[in-house]
Amino acid sequence: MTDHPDQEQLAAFQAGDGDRRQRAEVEAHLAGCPSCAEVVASVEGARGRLALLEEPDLPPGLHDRLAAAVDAEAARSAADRTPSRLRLAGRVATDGPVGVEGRRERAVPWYRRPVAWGAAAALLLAALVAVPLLDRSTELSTARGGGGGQAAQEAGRDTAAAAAGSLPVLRLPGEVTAAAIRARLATDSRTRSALEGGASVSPPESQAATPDRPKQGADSTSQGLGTSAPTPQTGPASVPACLVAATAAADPALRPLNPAFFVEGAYKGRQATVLVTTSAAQPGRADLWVFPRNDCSAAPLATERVR
Amino acid sequence: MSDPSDEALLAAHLRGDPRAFGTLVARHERRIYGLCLRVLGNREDAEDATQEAFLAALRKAATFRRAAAFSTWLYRIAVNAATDQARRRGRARLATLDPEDAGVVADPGSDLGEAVTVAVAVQTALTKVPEEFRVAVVLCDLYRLPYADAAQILEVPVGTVKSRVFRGRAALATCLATSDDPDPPLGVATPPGTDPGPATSEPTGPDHPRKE
Repeated sequence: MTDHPDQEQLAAFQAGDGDRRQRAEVEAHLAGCPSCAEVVASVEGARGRLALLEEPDLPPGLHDRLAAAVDAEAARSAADRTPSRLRLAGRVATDGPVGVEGRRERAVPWYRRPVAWGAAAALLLAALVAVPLLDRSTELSTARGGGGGQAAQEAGRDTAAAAAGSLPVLRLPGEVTAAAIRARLATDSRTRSALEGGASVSPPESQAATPDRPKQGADSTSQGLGTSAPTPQTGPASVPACLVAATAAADPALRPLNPAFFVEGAYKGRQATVLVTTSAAQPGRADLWVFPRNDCSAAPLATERVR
Repeated sequence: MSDPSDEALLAAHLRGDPRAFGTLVARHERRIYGLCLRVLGNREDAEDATQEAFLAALRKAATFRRAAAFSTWLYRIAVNAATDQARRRGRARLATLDPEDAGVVADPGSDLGEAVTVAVAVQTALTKVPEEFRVAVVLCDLYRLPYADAAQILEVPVGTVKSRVFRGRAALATCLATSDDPDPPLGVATPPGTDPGPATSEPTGPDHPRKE
């Protein structure tokens, strides 16, 4: 090696990367180049100095402080925990004082407040170009397609579906595949939070501070994105109908399914509406269900495991 | 019965077991506090960040995916809590570092005074390393996590972690070498916040060894 290795090469060398030939080249260079050898030695020296830092003891009182904080938070969320998100629809926004201990401690988490759902939707929609697909007045029974009675009952029990009101819609430019959705999940926190929303969970860290007051939900409604004012549009695909059809097709071990978001795009060249679900029975599991565009009246055309 | 795994405890928590999460806290609190302390450099902020981390973990428990180890997930939350805390506090917190916070464990017969002095110097220097590099150094060199695990925690490619660790160590070496200086300049090869790229290393690379 005639040129000096750059920092990336030295970092890789120090991390033990590279095949024998590459390492031999760097080693040979270091043997003949005092300045590079000095860089590597000083970096190694720093690593050695770090070894002097032991793991600190827990400060006195911190254990109790953490236990108390966790208990308080658990009590708060237990008081608010509902069997499903269905109760969102009937819930009143004023059923608890706002927490006094900071932005992340509040009596009613923002994501459980119905009015704040507008804000939640706005956050998701900002990136997903989401459109509410479900008219909340749609009844499961009228939305039922070819899913079959038992599946409809199961989906009906999975009241989270109906309560979500509407779902974000993700538009993918290319083919909709599990891999494409995984890629989006890996790179887009809002898509991730949409998926996590399907599991009825807390907001992503980065967004936790934003929709803190119910009135902000009203703000988002004024942007036309709130779930409280669904715009009649795009066609007959609805959350309950799609969920019923997906549930009917799903492995019973996955049931009940929670709807997370829709994807609009092409599936094997065909215009499709794709529902992505999580599984209440199997945390971490996500599947996609392919339907003809805006038509969930029959069984899904295809399904893939997303993760 | 042997102790349940972290993942089993989390699952128990999600099923409504009221004690499960507390057990997880007790199991991890010292490591999480240590992580926050190393990143933040002072006890008060580290305690606050530790609390934030566990509360965030509690709120996000249902988002845990079994694709990752619980500890990886928790470390990611803790790193975020610590960096959030750093942003809230700004940088001017180093003065509160005291020897106890340096976390020195005395070997019997060793010179505790000297060990404390050195450890404080290392922690002080560490806190001057740009945050992005510091976090990588803490995870890989102090917590001895494999690069791949640190990459998962930081959600960056493995190569980026290696580069950050290297740059973090280099910055630390510079800080330690100049630690007599009351306000040493940062000897960092690339500007803080710059993600290491292949073409950024000429100005202070080995072609131009730093004179101490």
